[in-house]
Amino acid sequence: MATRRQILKGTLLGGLVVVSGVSIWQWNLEESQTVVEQDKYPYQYLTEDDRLVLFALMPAFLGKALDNLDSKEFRINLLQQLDQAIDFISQSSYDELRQLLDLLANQLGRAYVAGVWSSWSRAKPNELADFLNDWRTSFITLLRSGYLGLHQLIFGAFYAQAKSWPAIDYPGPPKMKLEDSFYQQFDLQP
Amino acid sequence: MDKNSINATEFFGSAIEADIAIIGSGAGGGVSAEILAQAGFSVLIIEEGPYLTGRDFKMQEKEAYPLLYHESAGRKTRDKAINILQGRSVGGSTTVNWTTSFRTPDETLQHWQTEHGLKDLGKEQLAPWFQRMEQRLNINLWQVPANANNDLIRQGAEKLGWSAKVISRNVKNCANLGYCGMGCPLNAKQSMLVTTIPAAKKLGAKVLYQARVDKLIIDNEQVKGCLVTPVGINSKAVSDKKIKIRAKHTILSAGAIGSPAVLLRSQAPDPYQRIGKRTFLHPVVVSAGQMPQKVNGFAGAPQSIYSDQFLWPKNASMGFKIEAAPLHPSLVSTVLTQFGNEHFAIAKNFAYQQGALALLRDGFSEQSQGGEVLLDKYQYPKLDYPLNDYLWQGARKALLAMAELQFAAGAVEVLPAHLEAKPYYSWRAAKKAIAALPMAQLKTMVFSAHVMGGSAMGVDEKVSVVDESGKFRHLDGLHIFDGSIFPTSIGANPQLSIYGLVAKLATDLAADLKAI
Repeated sequence: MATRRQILKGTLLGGLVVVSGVSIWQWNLEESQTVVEQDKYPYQYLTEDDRLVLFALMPAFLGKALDNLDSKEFRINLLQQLDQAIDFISQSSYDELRQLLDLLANQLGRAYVAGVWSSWSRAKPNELADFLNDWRTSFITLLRSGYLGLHQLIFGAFYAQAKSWPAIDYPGPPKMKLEDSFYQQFDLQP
Repeated sequence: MDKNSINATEFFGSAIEADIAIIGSGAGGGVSAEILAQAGFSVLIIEEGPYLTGRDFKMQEKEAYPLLYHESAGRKTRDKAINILQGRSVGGSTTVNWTTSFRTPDETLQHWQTEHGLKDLGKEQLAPWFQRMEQRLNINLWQVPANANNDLIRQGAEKLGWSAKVISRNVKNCANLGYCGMGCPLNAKQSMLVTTIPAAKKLGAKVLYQARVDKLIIDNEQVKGCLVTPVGINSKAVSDKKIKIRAKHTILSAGAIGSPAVLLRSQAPDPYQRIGKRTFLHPVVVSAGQMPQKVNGFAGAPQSIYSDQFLWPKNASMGFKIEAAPLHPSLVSTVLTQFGNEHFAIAKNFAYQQGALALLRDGFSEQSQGGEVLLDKYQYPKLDYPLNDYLWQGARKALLAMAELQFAAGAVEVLPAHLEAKPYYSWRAAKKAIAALPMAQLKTMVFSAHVMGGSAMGVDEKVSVVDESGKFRHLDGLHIFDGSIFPTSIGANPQLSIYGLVAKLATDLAADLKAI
């Protein structure tokens, strides 16, 4: 008998493989799961379930932006960046994010159990995208807010990475070589 | 760091004394600190955020947003319909703003006189204070040619016969980099961080940073300082330790969300329930126009051209000011509401996008009462800001105006920031589609970079929190000097309005305190 957790992982990672079937996201289930589980970074906020959810949603959100960027390190690094950014939100914002991630985990698990999605090997390529689109176009403001919250987290972290910039023709900030002596003129004399 | 700057988490004492405690180091706190230090008072500035300077500013979104903005640049109103960009380190929002400087519009001052009875704040009375702060902060019309992102606003406006003017900026030796929003690495921006705060420190003022004010110390209807919790750079308490600040006089300059929050946490007397009411945001809607040529909206002074064509409409609808939206990849990617390949199809043309924003002038109509600051169960402020039809009508007009302007400037497609919008390929198509877009919370993307109101100044104690001198009405020993005392929004980027008004009020306060 599969536990909810196992179902969740199967669903998410299945969805991941399916959605990204056209690109280089063809990790096998074991490997993807292992990547998240073997990440020894001391996360303060994101649980392993959260990371599996976000890991699965990344390719659905980012689409072709991920082409040429896929590596274990890249995606794990993105999760770590997210965890660091979350450290700076207020306690009540974190509570809401916690609810969202829990809801998402349960929702996906239930969707799988209810047979909305068939097994990962049989799921259609756009099912995870359909799910996001459902939230995006929902008449329920809470779901739209959930869509926008995940959107802001994932895109915000992704396009803050220098590796994402060549694809959008952003050269990055100007290279400045300012010596400390430059700043000393502004310092308060002791 | 110098001896006048104290990290609260490394402070071993249990109390600090000063003549004047200033809560907050942004536009209001910075100006107050310099003026009161010059008048000979011992001043302690208390700031919740970290003390970061030009040395720390690396023009990287991934570092700048968590360190320099509330909630990693994702602060939101209660229903999450408005994303608020607000500074949180020493210097407050002046450290991260785009340097856009306007005097308070005459129409706004006129409205304050007729509707809120503020007779002391006429154009003539305030002019010398604006002039003084313009000199102090080197505020001048931007002489360098506008970057393409701004020049396209000018071109579009001129084609349509709309007004378009040059913006004044508070900069000195500006290299036109375009990264003002991540903290100026050259100390060229004349923020509080490099002007009034160092000047006050030279006169002996101290800055206690990473220090969150829990509440005011109130004794017999007199404010006698405040109680502070040392916090990490993430604003979270590092221990149960408290530091007691004893001051003869307290100035609250924590901004339009922070100042009402301090009053609410202190359970300050509020007989007419006015604290935190009528908080304004200049709600902002945005539009992306894709140009045939590269715009590179990340490079060059972020804002140098504006159009006030629609700021003061003849009818009673909500006016708006059009400016450029500087474009950096992380922030832009979150504003484009699409996902997957649809998102990437727009994002890949990032360098070709022209960003336009319209800030809506809230608080001038019966139908625009703004929001309300509340405390959550952690005693942290939440802003409840309902968006109503009156505002949505203004927002739709603004999206239409920006699309028209962008097509006039040569855009090949225009995309309003809206969950149901698609790129439109002609003004005709855009006009039809935008007219039909459902304007609703969490469908239309709404932002704010200007928090105002919540501790309104007024002559009638039933509807105001402070009197015309900025004194808190219901306690002695407490003045509020920041954007929270505006009775409405400004109708222009507010920094110079705060500088000028606070310079006047702080000078008067210094004279009053000396006379005692």
